[in-house]
Amino acid sequence: MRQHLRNTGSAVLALLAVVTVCTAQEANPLLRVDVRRVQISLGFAGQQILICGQVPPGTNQVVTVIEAPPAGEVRLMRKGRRGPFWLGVAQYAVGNIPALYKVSISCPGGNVVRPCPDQSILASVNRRLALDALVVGPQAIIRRANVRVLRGTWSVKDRARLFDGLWELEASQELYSIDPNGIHLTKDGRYFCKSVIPAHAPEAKYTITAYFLNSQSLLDAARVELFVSRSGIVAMLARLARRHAYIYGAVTVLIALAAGWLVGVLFHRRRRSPA
Amino acid sequence: MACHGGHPVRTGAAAAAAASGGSAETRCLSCHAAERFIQGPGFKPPVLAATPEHNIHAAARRRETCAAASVSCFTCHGIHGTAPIESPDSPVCRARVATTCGSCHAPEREAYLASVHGRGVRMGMESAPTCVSCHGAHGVQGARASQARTAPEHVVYSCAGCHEDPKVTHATGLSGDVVIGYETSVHGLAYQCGIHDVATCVSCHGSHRVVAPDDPSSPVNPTHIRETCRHCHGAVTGRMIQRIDHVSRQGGGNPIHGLKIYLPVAGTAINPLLASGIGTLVGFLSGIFGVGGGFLMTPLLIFIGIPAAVAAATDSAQITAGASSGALSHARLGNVDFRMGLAMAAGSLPGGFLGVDLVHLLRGMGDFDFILKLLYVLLLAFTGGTMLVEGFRALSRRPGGHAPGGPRKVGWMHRLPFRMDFPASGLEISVAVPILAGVSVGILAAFLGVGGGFILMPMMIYMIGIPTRVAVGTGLFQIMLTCAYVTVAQAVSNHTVDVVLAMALFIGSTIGAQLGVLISRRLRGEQIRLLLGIIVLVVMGALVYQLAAHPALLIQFAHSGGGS
Repeated sequence: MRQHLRNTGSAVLALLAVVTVCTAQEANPLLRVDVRRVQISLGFAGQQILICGQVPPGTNQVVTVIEAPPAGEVRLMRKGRRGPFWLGVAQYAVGNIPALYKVSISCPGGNVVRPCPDQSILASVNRRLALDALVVGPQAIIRRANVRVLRGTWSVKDRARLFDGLWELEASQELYSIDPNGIHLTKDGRYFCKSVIPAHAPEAKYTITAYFLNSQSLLDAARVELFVSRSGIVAMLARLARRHAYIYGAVTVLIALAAGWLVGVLFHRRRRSPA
Repeated sequence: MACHGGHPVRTGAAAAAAASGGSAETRCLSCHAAERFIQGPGFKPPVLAATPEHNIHAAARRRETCAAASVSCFTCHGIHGTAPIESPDSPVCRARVATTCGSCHAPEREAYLASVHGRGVRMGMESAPTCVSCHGAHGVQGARASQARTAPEHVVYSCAGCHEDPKVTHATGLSGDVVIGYETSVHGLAYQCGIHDVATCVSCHGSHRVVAPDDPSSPVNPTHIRETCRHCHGAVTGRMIQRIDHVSRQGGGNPIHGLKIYLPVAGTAINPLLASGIGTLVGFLSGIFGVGGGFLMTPLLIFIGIPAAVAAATDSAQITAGASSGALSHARLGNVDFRMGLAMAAGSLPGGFLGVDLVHLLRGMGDFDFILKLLYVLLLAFTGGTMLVEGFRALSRRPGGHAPGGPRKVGWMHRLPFRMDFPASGLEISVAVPILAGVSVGILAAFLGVGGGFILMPMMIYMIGIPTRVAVGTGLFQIMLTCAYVTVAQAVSNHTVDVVLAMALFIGSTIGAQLGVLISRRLRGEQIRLLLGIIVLVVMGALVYQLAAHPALLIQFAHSGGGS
């Protein structure tokens, strides 16, 4: 009985803690997101999210990072020229890299409608974040990635080429990006920016982190979670494809055969009718 | 009695004097605010809003500080003969309300009458707003008062009330997504974050004199836009102008452009019409030449953003649909040798298994993908070149004559055991021949990552000696069987078949296959072989280019299957 009460008490305390955290998160004036959940339905073609909040006093720069957890090991191939042809000269398995990684930075002395004049803005941000052992941008990917060399050489140059290429590859699919002038910082101490969760963003619990910096160091940080998940018929079909693959495959073939037969019959009738 | 009171009855100026003061409201409201009337027809609860707390005119009258102090119920509704507001005789009916308000607010009236809204009302458009649409009727407030619909914190959504209303946008032809466009602009983002001193609709378009952006007098017309922006921004750049253009270029005129459907297994969104178009093209080739079309379909699907694994797997489902449609039509024309097709399918399935295992074995030994591609190029060059040359020769030999079928080189096959009659092909050969052909096609298909139609067709025509038209029909039948099996196998082992994508492709490929069959009936066998030879050589050329051209990205995802 006592054990039961203790368990119940723990559960209530845990629930309270969760509620407190959630409430605190929702009320966090430093970081607000206009949606808490992105639902992927049949008409989903990507969704814009709005991030905004109040900056702590003394802040002169804000950095936001939207990140999806790793979706598994990625196999990459490096192409090289051999004679007249381009072929795969090295192959790597890269693990522990985020499935989506988008960085936005406010540009001091600029606003979002002008290109940021500061070319070294990312380095400047990372210099200040480094005091707290933090880093954003491609360096953050390099720091946490696990690389297994499956074929080819592995030198410092190869490493640089791999990660530059990886960033380029993910950026071409709108999954990685850096916007050095993506956050608007207002005179009355607020900031806002937008970002897009692309149509091919993976299902996951995303984190959105905001870093508030002054000219020397990190002042404060805030984090919220964003859930991206399939819903409705999309979720049902994805589940069927994974859990009942035989039925799913057979139904697909039956639909294919039925479609072929139906159109064949329709065309046959059409050809016969004028005669 | 209710208005003038009992005896002594006040008349004319005395009554008007009494009416112009606070007592006028009191007298009107004594009936109009009474619950029994509010619930009755023709009397509406908003009348209650005409109290000093909710109405700027009533508040001014209480203070008696400005001209608005003289405004009472009678000012707008008249005294005697007041008509319901729907009646054209009412001074506050849609057509007359601007004039009535304008009797005090003359500059605003002139601006409004010149606006698109004012013109719309004059033209009798029900959706065109009047003064009361934005300012309210009895609850009229100061333009920037916090409760007013025209206040900075409400004005965007007040405009949205009409500009996002489908009833209004359908009636007027407006795009309907200007407010969404505004929300994505820097001004809109700030606005949604509670920063209301940014530019809103009225900041750029004006309030009473709103005209279409292509009107030269509009503040957002290209001739004035810089001047308008300069009211808030000191320096105005061209890029700034581009960024604030919030009228969607995707909406309105082209409904196809924004059409997207989410694919549950591929995990991305595509335009279904584009997918159907690709299906039609590939189905058309399939119907003419008896090939599956995987060589074309898979790269096209990857090009429109489908992951390679899903593209290859779903392709097989699409080929099943296209091939079944084409095979059915060819069967009706007597062009399908079912015995031959079943025998080849019996060989191609184990051949495919064997090929997959061999690929895995060889890939582990080094850069096998490149070797496979090179092999494929050589094979395509040989078969394409042979078909082209043979087709030309056949055409030049018998111009205008009917082709009996294909070249029949069946000599060595007569010596093999297990002979069987294949009447549709006009052959009596060993059953081992189609089975072995199937095995070799299966191995090559697994090696090269394509369905194998390109290899099967020349094999049937030149090695086995099946007439070209029967080869086309039989090829489709065999491809249908093989791809149906591959679809289920891919769904089970890799979970990469996307049924939504497949259905979008089916629509096009089945129709395309029928059109292809129609065309193939008008072509002679040698013409079909000649055209197929040309297509095979084009595919080979594309592959050579792919191998030799500088890749757009040096780091690419490594393929785990097929030969490419």
